[in-house]
Parts: sequence; C-alpha cells; structure tokens
Amino acid sequence: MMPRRETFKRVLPDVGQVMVEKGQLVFPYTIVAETKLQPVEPVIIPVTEQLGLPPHMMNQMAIVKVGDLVETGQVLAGVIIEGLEYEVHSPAKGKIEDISPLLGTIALRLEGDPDEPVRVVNVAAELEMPELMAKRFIEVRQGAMVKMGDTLAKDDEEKKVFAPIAGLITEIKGATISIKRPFVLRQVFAYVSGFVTEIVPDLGAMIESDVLRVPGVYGVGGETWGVLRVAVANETETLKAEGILESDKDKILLAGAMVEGAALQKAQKMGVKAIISGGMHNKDVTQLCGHEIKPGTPENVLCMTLIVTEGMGRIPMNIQAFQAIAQKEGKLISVNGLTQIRAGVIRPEVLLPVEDDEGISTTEEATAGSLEDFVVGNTVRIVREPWFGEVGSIESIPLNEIVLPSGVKTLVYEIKTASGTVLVPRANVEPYRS
Amino acid sequence: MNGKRYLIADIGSTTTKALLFEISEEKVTLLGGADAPTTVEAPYNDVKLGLFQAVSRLEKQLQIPLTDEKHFLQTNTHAIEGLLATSSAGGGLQMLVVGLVKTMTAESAERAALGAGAVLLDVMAQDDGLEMYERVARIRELRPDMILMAGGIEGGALLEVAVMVDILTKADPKSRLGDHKVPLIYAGNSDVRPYFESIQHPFEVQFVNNLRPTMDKEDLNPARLAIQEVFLHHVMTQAPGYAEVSKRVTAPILPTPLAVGKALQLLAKEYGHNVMSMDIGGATTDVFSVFKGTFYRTVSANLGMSYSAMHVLAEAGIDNILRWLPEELSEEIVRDWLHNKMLRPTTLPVTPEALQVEQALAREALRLSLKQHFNLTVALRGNKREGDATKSSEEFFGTEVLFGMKDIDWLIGSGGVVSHAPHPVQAAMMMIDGFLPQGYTKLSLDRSFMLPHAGVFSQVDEKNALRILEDLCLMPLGGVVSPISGYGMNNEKMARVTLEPKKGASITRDVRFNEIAILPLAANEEAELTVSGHWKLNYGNGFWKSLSKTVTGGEVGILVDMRGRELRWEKKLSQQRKQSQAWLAQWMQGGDRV
Repeated sequence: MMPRRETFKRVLPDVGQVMVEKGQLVFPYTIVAETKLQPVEPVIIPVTEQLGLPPHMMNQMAIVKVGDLVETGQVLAGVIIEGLEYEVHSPAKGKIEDISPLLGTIALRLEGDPDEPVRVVNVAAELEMPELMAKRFIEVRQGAMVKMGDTLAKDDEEKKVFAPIAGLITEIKGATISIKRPFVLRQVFAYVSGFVTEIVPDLGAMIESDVLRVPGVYGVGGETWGVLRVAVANETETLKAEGILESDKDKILLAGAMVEGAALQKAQKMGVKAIISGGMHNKDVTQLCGHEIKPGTPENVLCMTLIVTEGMGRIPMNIQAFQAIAQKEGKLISVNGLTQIRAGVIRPEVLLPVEDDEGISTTEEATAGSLEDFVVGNTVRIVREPWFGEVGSIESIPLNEIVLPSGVKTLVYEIKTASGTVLVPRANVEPYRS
Repeated sequence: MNGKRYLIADIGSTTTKALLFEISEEKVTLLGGADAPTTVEAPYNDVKLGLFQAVSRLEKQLQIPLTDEKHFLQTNTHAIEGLLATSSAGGGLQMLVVGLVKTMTAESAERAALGAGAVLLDVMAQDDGLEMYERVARIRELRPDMILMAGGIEGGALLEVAVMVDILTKADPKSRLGDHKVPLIYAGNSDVRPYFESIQHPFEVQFVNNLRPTMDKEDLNPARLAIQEVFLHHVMTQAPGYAEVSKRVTAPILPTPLAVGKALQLLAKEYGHNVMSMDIGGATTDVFSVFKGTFYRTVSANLGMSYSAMHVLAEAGIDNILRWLPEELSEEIVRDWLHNKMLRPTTLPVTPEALQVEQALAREALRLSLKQHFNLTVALRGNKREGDATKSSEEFFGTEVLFGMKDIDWLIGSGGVVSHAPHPVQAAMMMIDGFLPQGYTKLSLDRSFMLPHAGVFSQVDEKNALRILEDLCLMPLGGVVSPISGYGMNNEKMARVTLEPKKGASITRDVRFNEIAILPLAANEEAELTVSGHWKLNYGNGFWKSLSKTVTGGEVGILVDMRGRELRWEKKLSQQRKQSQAWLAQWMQGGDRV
C-alpha cells in the first residue's frame, strides 16, 4: 500500500450541469455536476389512426423527423384530402424519438420544466356535473403514477377524463386531481479531495487526488465519506454495540476483527456512514440489509456502507492496513462498498487522504502473487478456515500431494504460524505484503 | 507408435486443456494431457498462444514433436493424425433470442439456442412486459455474437413479428468481437421474410425453416445447424486467434456444451438409453439430457459452487442447505464459509466439515438446476389438446413435463465438486440427493472432463469416440434403484433386495423405508438385481410389482434408496439435520469416510 496520485472520473450518466471549474479545489462533498431527470416513457401518438390512413403512409405524412425538438401544439404530421387539411399536433413539448411506418406512430420523448407547476384537472367541469357527483367517478388514487392519456375518471355514459400529463397524483381534493411531473435530482459528488484537472462538458469533471488506497475483499453500500474514528484498540478487537457513540453520526468507524450484529444495527440507527472491519458475519450483514445478498454482480443495497478487508467471520484486520487507516483518525476519508465478483471484478475500497509531507509513489503497484512470493522463508497469509487470517512463514514446499483431513488430495505448503506448524493447500494461501 | 494420434483441445474460459490420444485396433490410450491459461483476453488477444503453450507442455511431457520451429502446431505430419478443438473461451457463443410469445416461440427458440451450445444474454418476447423503448435500450446494452429470431407459426402472426424486426433494427446492436454486422438467424413465419428485404437493417440475415411451424410442432434442428455454421464461419473467425486454429483443425470447432451434447447423444444411441448429465462449475451448472434421441440443455447461470455460492444460498434458502449438515455447524458458520468460498473461489476444503458444507451446497445447486431443466423441457406450450375447446387458459398453456427422472436410464456427473469428490460414494450421494433418480438408473462420473473431447472427436470417428468415453472418460459408479412413487412408514420393511453376480456369492438384504443400502458390485461385473414388490411402492411398472434387471457394478456398487420420491423430510430443521446425518452414516457405511 503506497500513496499515489490518482485521477477520478466523476460524471453523470446523462447530460446535466457541471458545477465546478478547472483548477478548483474540491472535497468529497462538493457537487461536481447535477441534473434533473424526468423519468417518464415516451408518448406514442397514433398518427395514421388519427388521420384514418394506413400506417405505411407515415413517412409521407410526417412533417418532423427523428431528433427534432417540438413545442406543444406543433404540427407533427398532416395530409390534404379533397382540399381539406388534416393535422396531428404535438400534445406536449419534447423530442421526436421514433417515426414508425410499420405502426403509423410517432414516439415523443417529453421534456418538462422541473419548476413546472402542478397541473390541476377539474373532473366535475370535464364531466359537466356537480362536484359531489363527479368525485364518485374518479378511478385513480392519490399517490398513483399515471401516464399521459390515462383515464382519471369515467361516468355512467362512458364519458372519460384523461390525464393531460404523465406524473404523480399529488392530491385529490373533492373532484379536482393534482398531477405533478416527477423529477429526479441526480448529483455526482467529488468523492475525494483534490483538484479539478479537466471538465467533461455537460457530464462532470476529472479530479486528481493523492490517496492511499486500502482494498477490501467484500462490501455493501455505495460511495460515502466521513470523518474517521478508530472505535477499537487494535486490529484484533471486536466492535460491540456499546462502542458506538452518539457522536458517531455521519462518521466512518474503524473496527478490528469483527463488528457484532447489534453494533451494526445500532450504527445504522445512529446514522453512522460506514464501518470498516477485518471481518463480519454474513448473517449480521444479511439482517442489516433485510435480504439475502447475492454479490456476483453489484447490487443496490439500502444500508450503510460496510467494508470487509479480510473475509467473513472473526478475522483480525491485516495490521498494516489497520495502522494505515488508524493514522487518519479525525480526517475526512472516502469509502465505496461496491463489490463485483464475476468478470470485471470490483473490490470495495478505502481511500485515505495523503498529507503533503507523506509523499507519493510512482512505482507500479504489486499485482496478484507470483511464484516468487511462495518460496521457503517468505511470509504468507492463510485465507481459509480453519486458520483463516493467520500469518506465518513457509517452512517447506512438499513436492507430492498430501491427503487433507477432508479427503481432498492436493499440493501444500508447510507453514509455521503462531499456533504451530500446519500443512495448508497452496490454493489457500496469499502473499503477505507489508 | 501403434495407432493414430489425435490432439484434442478444449479452450475453456480460463484454462486450455490439450489431450493426446492414441487410437489403435486394440485400444484407445490417453498418452498425456497438459493445461495452460486461456489467452483470449487482453493482453494476449489470441487463443492460439494459450493452445500453443498447452501443446508445448504436452510435447515436453511426452517427448513427442507436436510443434514446429515456426511455433505453429504441427499438422499433416506423422506425429499426429489430426487436431480438434472445442471452445467456451471469451464467454462462449453469446446469443440474444427473440420470439413473439414468451411461452411459445420464444421458448422454442431458447431451446434451439441452448441446444446449440449458446450462452443466452437475454430472451425477449412481445409479452415480456417491456415497453418498446425499454427493449431497444436493453438490446443496445447487450453485445451479442448472434441473434436467433422466431415468431409466428406458418400462416400466423405477421405484423407483430415485423414490429419485433423493427425494434431490433432500431436498436442496432453491436457485436463484441468487431465492427462486422451481427448475424441474425430468422426462424419464424416465412411470410415475414420479404419484410427484411424491404427495410434497411444492420444484420447479416440467414433464413431457416420456422422452428415452430405449427402450434404442436417444433423443428429445432435447422436453427441449431444454422447457429453452429454461423458460429464457425462468422463468430469464430472474428474471435482473436481462432481463424488460425480453424485452419488447422480436422473438423469444425464446436462450442464446448455442444460437444458434450454430441458425446451424450453417442452414448444414448449406442446403449438405447435416455441419458442425463450435469456439469456443476464455479459460476454455472449445465444440465444435459438426451430423451428419445433429442438433446436438451439448460444453463443455470447463477447456480454454482464458488462465484454463485451466495446465489444458491439465496435461491435455496439457508435452511435447505443446513438440513444436509450436522447440528454442530451453525447457520453463522455455514454462511461465513460459503461467503468466503465465493470471495476466494480457488481455495480448497481442509476439514471434513468444510467439505460437508460444499457438498451440501452442491446438492441444492443440482436440485435447483434440475428444476430449471424440467421447466424448459416441457411439452410444447400453447399446444391445444384434442377435444379441449372448453378448457381454461391455464390448461391451454399447461406445463406437461416431457419426461422426468423416471425416464432417465443413465446419470453422468461432471464438474469439480462431483468429479473430484475424495470418495466416489460422495459423488454418487450428491448426484442422487440432487437429482433424485427414479426406478433403476446407472451412474457414472467424468473424472477428467473428457466429455467435450470425446464429443468433438465423434465428428471424425464415432466408434473410437465411444471407446474414449467408455474406456478413458467415464468411471462407472454402479447404479441406484428407488421407487418412482410411494412411501412407507419409518422402519417399515419395504423390499427384499437380491443381487446375484455372475461370479461370486449372491447378496440378499432387507431394506426399510427411509433407509439406504449399498450392495457391493465391482466395475464391469454383471449381476441380476431383484427388488421385491410392495403394495405401497411403484418402481415404474406398477404398485405391487417387483423390479428385475441385469445391472453392472462400479466403484460404489448398487445403491438402494428407500427414502421415497420426493424425499420425505421431517418437519423441523433440527430433526431434518439428524435425518440427513443418519442417511450420511448409511451411505458411508465403513465409518472411515466423511
């Protein structure tokens, strides 16, 4: 683990507004870019049906083309029959997404103003009856999402009232229905402290930061940041519920070998941002998240961020990792629990700020173990029960396969650990790097 | 050299394995084998390199020249007669399947694609619940090697199929292998073919016979053959390094699962059996079956022993895994161990308890993947049966299973946890507990993962491919007999089992309900097996009736499983755990095994 200068690409998934400038000093909580998205599907306008003509004439009738921006009421298609003009108008402001001569339709992707006022539909006026009567015919509920053109009310004579826009029904008062177009505010934060080196137009920025990266082996939850508190005395200790304090709200806690289930629950309730630990029990993490975790691919897990550095169970954190993180107590650190096991492996990370006097390394990070790591005398770590987490030195490398207590026959290393000399499958050992 | 030598390689997703066989009149011999990491991905981007490395290791091992000074594989020399290869490298053949109705043409197309050895990226249909724009967005995310499109019986739906063509055209998916056009095999209503010609589309289209020409008929072979041909000539030539390997092989390179299918079909044809095989890997479990000569395959993409361990736990439920384990292993420990196996997939179990946990997981992965297999191998849905005009739509779209375990004569196990089980009886246990075979079922194990090699070799020489299977690949375990239906009371005597070997003394044993017995019978030894009838049990020929059969032995012998089908578990988990440990003790008999 060496401090390095890294570049972080911080961009939105879709166009928005960039909020920083090149050269600007940013912090994890700095908003780099944001956008207000309107998550409704395109409106399909049955053009040829409205004009009473076969679908294949769509292209001849269309006045607009794919990609055009149109205003409410703008003519989309038209035809002259026996001297009379027949037109189809756009029901809303938007962008032409598709023109289909197969179906005779135009798909319109709506665009709206996030500050657009709520649209109020007066069902009584539409159905031309008193309010008390009209409200009986309302077919939607408050809190429902509707599409443009959905039926809001229908009377006994099948006369209907349609939704003029897509959106959320925010209120039904008497016979009036209020519909608000939903907007999602999407923001991308800097995540690390550093300098903006490049602006990515409409999407975000590149940020350069000096960080010490401590990788984890498994995590849940996404990116977050907070002031670090070391909640245990050393890398072998367990963080219990009583170790979580009121003042830990919005903080990131460092544990040792284990975090108890009760501590996880308390921390989440208290508003702790994240916990880093050598080990945790799968059972406790599952209970915290409220469902079984299937971390083959990234999941959106709605619980606080957890970073496990060694494995599941009670496993002391690698002492170098513990000391490196502990040194940053009181500082603002960043973590990301995102984990992907399959192709395109993603491991969770702890990013520690680097002080000016610490210096950064420019040499390549050592990659996964090579044969040179496993020679007699080298220090290794065992990564499977029954000796998970134990560190020892290779005493000898037997050439023949041996039969383990499980009956499995394999090549082993003879390793001397604090608890004695053991024969460990070669596959169950990782290089131990300081 | 006493015979002809063939070099056969399987280019897997992580490992390339080269085997050298010598075929003579008297016997087939495996001269040697060597592995090397597959080199399809960066920085190598050339499968030839990994193949060359594996062959070079083999060359050193055997001191037989297999490569020349130009570092190409030797062909057309006296050293080897031919080179063959199978491949699942780079994720294998990745396909998008599109149909019209999910439970009809889309499902038929899915069967065709799986049977051709493809990895399915997605299966889409008009009634899959997606909006048009969602479908377009989804297709754009995928980067298929090939698309199989079906839809509309002959004389049936037209416009709806054309709409799906439109959607594919708009999405304009890109291949992951290069800039070339994505091949599209159209196997739907032939009346739609002119529509392809009338529009500008981005595909390399090939038309084949409708794979669902009528509601009650499925014709998958033309589509399967087309997939294979396109795979070889379009997909493989784009994959890095394959073009060079393709020039040197004696017969077409096959997708690995298709090669396994050929091996199983060969066995099925030779023995007149319905054969089933499983291949349980780290991330996925394949189930293959040959029923009345027709090949079926499913891939349970999220059921496996390491990368997918937690998915198996989620699907099966922790209690279904714990029920196979002794009570000393707490839920907390089992969860942690499985989770750690997922995080470090290559590690090995050191203690007997760790092995038990892995084997419990394997049982559940097999059970779930078999369920998925039977979900796909159903009688054609949407096929109206005679005189059922008044039947409800549930009955119209019924799920009448095409075949079941009672129809399977031979079960073959493959995949690390099964093939490398420390003791053959453990492999047999996992296969039986996972698949619950019924009636009499022969059991074998592919210990060396040679099924694909034999399968691809069958393109050149069926007779000797069969010899490879029989003499080198398959380890006979013996067989298992179990009623197909019926239960007794606990400890009720259910059957008297007699085994009369051609050589040696006969064995007679009374077996009670919920009991498992193992009668020793060595490999290749024949015996007459008789299981007496019981009014409560049916072995496939009716209640009361006995079962008599000539059987062949194996590493385990003849197993008698009187636990019932399905297994009759106790109600509480703690009791289930005691129950499974009692079964385990009976399986292991000698006490010196796990």
